[in-house]
Amino acid sequence: MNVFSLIVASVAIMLLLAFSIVFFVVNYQRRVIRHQDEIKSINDQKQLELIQASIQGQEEERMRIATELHDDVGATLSSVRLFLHSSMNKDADESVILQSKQLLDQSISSIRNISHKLQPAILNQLGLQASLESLSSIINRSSSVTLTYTSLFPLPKLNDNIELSVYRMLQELTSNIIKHSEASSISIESSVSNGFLRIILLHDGHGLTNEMYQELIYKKGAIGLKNIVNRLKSINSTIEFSQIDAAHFRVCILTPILQ
Amino acid sequence: MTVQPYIIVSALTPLLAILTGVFLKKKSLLWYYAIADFSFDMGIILLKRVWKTNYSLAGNIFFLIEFLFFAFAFRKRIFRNDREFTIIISVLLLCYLVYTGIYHSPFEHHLMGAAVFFSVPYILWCVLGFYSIMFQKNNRIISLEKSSFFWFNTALILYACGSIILFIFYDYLIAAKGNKEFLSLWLIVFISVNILKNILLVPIIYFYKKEEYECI
Repeated sequence: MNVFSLIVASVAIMLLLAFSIVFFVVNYQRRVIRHQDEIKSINDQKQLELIQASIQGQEEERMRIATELHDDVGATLSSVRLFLHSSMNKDADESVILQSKQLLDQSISSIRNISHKLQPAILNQLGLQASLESLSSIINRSSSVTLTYTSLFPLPKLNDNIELSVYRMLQELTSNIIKHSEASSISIESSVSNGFLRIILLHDGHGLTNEMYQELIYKKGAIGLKNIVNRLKSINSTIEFSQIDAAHFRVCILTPILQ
Repeated sequence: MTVQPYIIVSALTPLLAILTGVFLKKKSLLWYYAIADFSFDMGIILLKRVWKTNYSLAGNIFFLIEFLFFAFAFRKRIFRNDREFTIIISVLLLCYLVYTGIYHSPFEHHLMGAAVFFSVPYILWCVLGFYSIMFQKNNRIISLEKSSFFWFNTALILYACGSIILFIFYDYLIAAKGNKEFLSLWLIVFISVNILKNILLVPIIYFYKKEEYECI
């Protein structure tokens, strides 16, 4: 090989090397952009699902209120009207008036229950601790599950949004446990330390682990869990699901309470 | 084989970049480089063809000016601070000046100095430049083809890789003065690489954004 050929070959190799570097950079950047697009698309999808879950949650709540108003309060008031109408035609019958009074009491109680579920007045007036005590007594009265609530220290009055979100999350979690886990006892423990509110929920039913929770929130359905995710985001909180032994599951919610 | 048309084309190609800068009103450092490149090429043609005088001194000075343009274009992108920049550039300039101006003569063409002290750093800086594009902090470049800095690195790495071998073998060219075929081949390859660099100045100026050259 003479010197000319050697020079041309060397120049060609150097140019090839330069082109390879440029090609590598372009290829790498394309991969990075594709990867970023994938992440963005997953996040968008997740965001969309959360919005849908939130809307669906609202619709279900409206449906529940409508059903309760129609089937319970509406029916009771219609009966009262019927009783009062029939009592107009005859002499005042004390038993009819008594029955009407009982039905009206029942309606008042139903309306109070609906109102309590919509916005627990006790939460605004007495705070989270009293609301959780009240929730535990309601559950103990109305279901076969025993719920015990303990607070290691008296909880201070927290931000309204934090109190409502934590209360709603615990309401959703306990309701899910009662419906799906076949648990016989639930315990909720709250404490405040280092600027964090820590809520630990233990139960002896079939529970969730973190992996299952992550899977569920990306799946269709699981509206309740997606609403929990929304509430966690709104108060910068974290949640952790774990199995502590063969028969017990634990959920831990950690919420920063210092602004 | 006549290389005269190639030389004329090579000398005129920076005009594309200059006009792009004028129309888009993007008068960046590399636009001024295009003007310097155009002026130098025209000057060489005048010195060589019209006045028939020695143009080696002008060539040696232009390598130096070109080096400063490229170094300043990289300054804020790959050098950690001004001190590091000043030290590295001063050392390279000094080495070039000693090699070309004292060891040889400034009135002679000795391209080994330009190859070792300029082309090698260009290649290293381009690699670092590409690295900074790939791992830049303020993440996402929408597309590389719209990045002036990417085109700058591409132009310079092709120019440096293409010309370094030619510069190294330039002494052989001087030794084989009588061999016109070799001289023509050398010029054609060098001019091709130079034209490629000059054409790539167009996207560099077209997509120019000051912040691309000022942040890592």
